[in-house]
Amino acid sequence: MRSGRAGVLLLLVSVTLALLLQLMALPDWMRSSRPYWVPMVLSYFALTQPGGALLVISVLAGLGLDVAFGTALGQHALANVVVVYLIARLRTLFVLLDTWQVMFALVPLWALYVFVLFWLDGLTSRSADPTLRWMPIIATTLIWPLVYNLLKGIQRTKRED
Amino acid sequence: MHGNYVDPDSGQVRVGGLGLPTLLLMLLSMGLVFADHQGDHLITVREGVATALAPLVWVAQTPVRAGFVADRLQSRESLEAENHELQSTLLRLQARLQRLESIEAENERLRVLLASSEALEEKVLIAEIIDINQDPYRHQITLNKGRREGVYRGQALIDAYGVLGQVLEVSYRHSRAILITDPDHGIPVEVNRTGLQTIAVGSGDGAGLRLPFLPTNVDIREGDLLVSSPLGGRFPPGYPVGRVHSLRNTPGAHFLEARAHPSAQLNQGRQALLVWAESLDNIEAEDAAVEAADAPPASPTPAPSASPTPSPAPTPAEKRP
Repeated sequence: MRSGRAGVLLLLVSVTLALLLQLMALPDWMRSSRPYWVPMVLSYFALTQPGGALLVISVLAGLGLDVAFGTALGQHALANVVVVYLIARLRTLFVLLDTWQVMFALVPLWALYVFVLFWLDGLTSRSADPTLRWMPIIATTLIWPLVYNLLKGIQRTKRED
Repeated sequence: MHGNYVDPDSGQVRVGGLGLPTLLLMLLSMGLVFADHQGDHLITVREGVATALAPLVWVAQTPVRAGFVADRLQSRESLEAENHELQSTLLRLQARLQRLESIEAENERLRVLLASSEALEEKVLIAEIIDINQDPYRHQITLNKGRREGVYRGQALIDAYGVLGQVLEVSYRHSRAILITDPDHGIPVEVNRTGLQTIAVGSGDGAGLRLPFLPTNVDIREGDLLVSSPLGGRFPPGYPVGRVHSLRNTPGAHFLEARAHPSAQLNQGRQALLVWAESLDNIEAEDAAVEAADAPPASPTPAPSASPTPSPAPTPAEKRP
């Protein structure tokens, strides 16, 4: 229970920071290759401490992204929930892998995330330009080990305290 | 629920219970997407989330603001030069204004003769652009004026050079506007030279407008000025929208397509003007009615009554002939 409460606090703080990074103003040429910070952080927690609270937070963060990006309400929420659930289900597989292997094993999930967003863009008849959609997948994959090790380090120092 | 918080070191996890909550949340999200797509039912939810996100957006804009501050630290010489330039511009504009005033008076007399009740002077409000949508596929901005200042959904937005776009969502202190270059935006325009009415759709690359579905024998040329048209009742008529720079006539195609550069300086200014396109009397009467009713702040959403067209942001699909 003790580690659970600290874990939830870390979860909330890191999801807020991820939202902030997602909204941070970037120059035009970098904008289309911005990594998906929020699903990345949610995925870390899906690997380490999956649970109902995580799903609810995924939906809330998704709604925040929807409002911030002007997409259909629920679009990012759905994509978040799908990715978090799949990672939680495949968790037993992922814990056996190295960080590097996980990094590549997650690529299909980021692609799925992009696809859900793209699909709902099309479904709600918003113009969706497919040419640069794959850029964030690469960016997210490259940043993943950093985020993973950072959050892991924070959790480890917390536990030692 | 707490049974799922498992120490990562122990390796003991029970995730089996997640299936049902996931399904429910997915259905909830799908329902939200569906409801949002169907109409404006979720506008209050959106506004609530937007208000909650406001501090986060403010923090996220810190680097941009820092850039502004750096811009403002200018040397004395450059300020003097700028001052000089502004004074000469002011002089030039004042000279033009004198002429325009007489024209306006003349126009008003003629309108009275025609028994037209259309008001010429429009109420405007300067709003600061505080955020630009970071999604590379949308051309949207956030303004620091909201329902508190009487901003309403569908309100036209201009800058010193032409039409910028229109208001999409209004929260209490902020509003989000869609620019005319967004691929989901269409604006009714009139070719100034010939009076031809058509629709200018955003091309999505941030730099241009498309005029699709023109008859192949239409009288339109490179360099033609496009001004906003009163059709649709959303934009005040007569503001410049863009200038045609190329015509594309694919042999065998049924329609001609013209391309135009927007007149407004998108992505350059930090201020925009909100225009109350309807006559001032109407708005004042409405304000008075709202004050008289002393309604709670949540209930009076002025959008439906204030905008003459009931549909939300005009998408090109709705407007195509």
